[in-house]
Amino acid sequence: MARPGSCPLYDTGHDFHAVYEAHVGFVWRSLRRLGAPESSLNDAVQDVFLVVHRRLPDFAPHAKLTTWLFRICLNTAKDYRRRAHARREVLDEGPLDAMADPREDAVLALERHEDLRLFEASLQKLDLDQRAVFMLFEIEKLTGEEIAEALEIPLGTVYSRLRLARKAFSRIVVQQAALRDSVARAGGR
Amino acid sequence: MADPRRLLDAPAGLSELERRVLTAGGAAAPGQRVTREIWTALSARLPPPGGGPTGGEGPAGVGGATAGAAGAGAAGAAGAKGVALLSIAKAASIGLSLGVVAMAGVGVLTPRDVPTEAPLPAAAAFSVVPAAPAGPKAGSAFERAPTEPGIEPAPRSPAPVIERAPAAPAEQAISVRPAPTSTGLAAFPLAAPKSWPAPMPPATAPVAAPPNPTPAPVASVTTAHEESRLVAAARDALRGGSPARALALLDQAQRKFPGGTLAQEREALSIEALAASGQRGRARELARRFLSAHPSSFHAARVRAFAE
Repeated sequence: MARPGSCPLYDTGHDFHAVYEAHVGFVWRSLRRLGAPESSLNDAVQDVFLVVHRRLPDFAPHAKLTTWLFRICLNTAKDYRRRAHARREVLDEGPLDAMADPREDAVLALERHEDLRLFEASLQKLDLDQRAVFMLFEIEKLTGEEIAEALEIPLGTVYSRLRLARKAFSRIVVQQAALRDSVARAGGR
Repeated sequence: MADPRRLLDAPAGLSELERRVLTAGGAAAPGQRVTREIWTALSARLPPPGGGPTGGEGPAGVGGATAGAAGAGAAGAAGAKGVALLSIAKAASIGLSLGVVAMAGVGVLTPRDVPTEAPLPAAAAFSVVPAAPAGPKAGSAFERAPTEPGIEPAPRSPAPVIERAPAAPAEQAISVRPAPTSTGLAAFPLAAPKSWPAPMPPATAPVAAPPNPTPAPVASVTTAHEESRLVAAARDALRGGSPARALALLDQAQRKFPGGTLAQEREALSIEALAASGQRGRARELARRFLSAHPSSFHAARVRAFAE
């Protein structure tokens, strides 16, 4: 598809909406996993897209949209974490608690939720740098180069963080699963 | 240097647990309803397409908002059905169905794994619920489950208005929102997305807003937009650390649009603003009332934090 010099996304409203629709999931996941407080997650998503809307003219056509979006997410999540901290807000009791819409989830199998809960709980245990690399590579399937660009770090650093994150993650998943089971046993009837 | 293979692409070195957990992590996404709600609120915060100050709103700018509202209504209908199913399941086991609701608050898997578009047939719902471990394993999920015994279908009509003690100087005139100067964005039509139910055809969005928009046919649409602006301005005030100003704006919104499409969002913000301005008791009272009126509201999770 031909992409003329100026950002094609900027030409029509449909394109902005297309960007929104194509990437709202990515932005939502990223913010959530970068520690934006659950209570203001939807506000944070809006804020990211407000920036997208404002800065589309500056967006270099050769750059990859997701890396650019992720950088905006990083900054936004940082803002929200800081503000939450300043207000001494209780961040989140659990990583998954407050997802807003129980209704459509009635269709989901319980096991999926268990897995997702475990995934997020484990991810939260990684430090932020490793977490970003891990989620971008393993979940969002960006390449090492793209991650280096998104995080503005050398490629070698991407790989070393990935190695550490993988190690930690496989250890943590097991721990979290055991923890969950023991809590369940303690609270069981 | 070459990238290593992704864990999920090389499943040999992966435990079953890791594989499942990673797969679930990749499938997490906001639901369609959430996506629409955010779009609706976002639309209200974008610079108006006419390029003028706040008055320059063209009909095109409102398309997104109304489409979102319409879509939310549809989702509400489907949601009520789902909740009703859960209520039936509750008869078998209260704990279990609450568990489903609590865990359902988690996230939605994308369509590539689960067809979220199609409402679940009742039979399938029952196959899910009894499959849950009735014993200890599900216990952790129950701890945060709401303790109210009744899970009602979500109300589809506009929310009853929460009245509030006159805490803020409501009468002062407040300019709704400084419109960011729009440059090339003047021609930006906030058209309703193709895939969502839109009350007006997006393709007809005018490139430039007419100098004198005809008031009569777009009255309700304009109303919705103004409500959005007020609520958005209130949210900005609250986030900016001015809860009193937020309360004043919300008051204004309530008086102008008592049964507006954003009534629930307005109430949720009011509760937050009351808490932020030190009126925690009042906030708690309203939060509890909100939760019993709208237990499955989009805003319930946020409000719940103020109910305790």
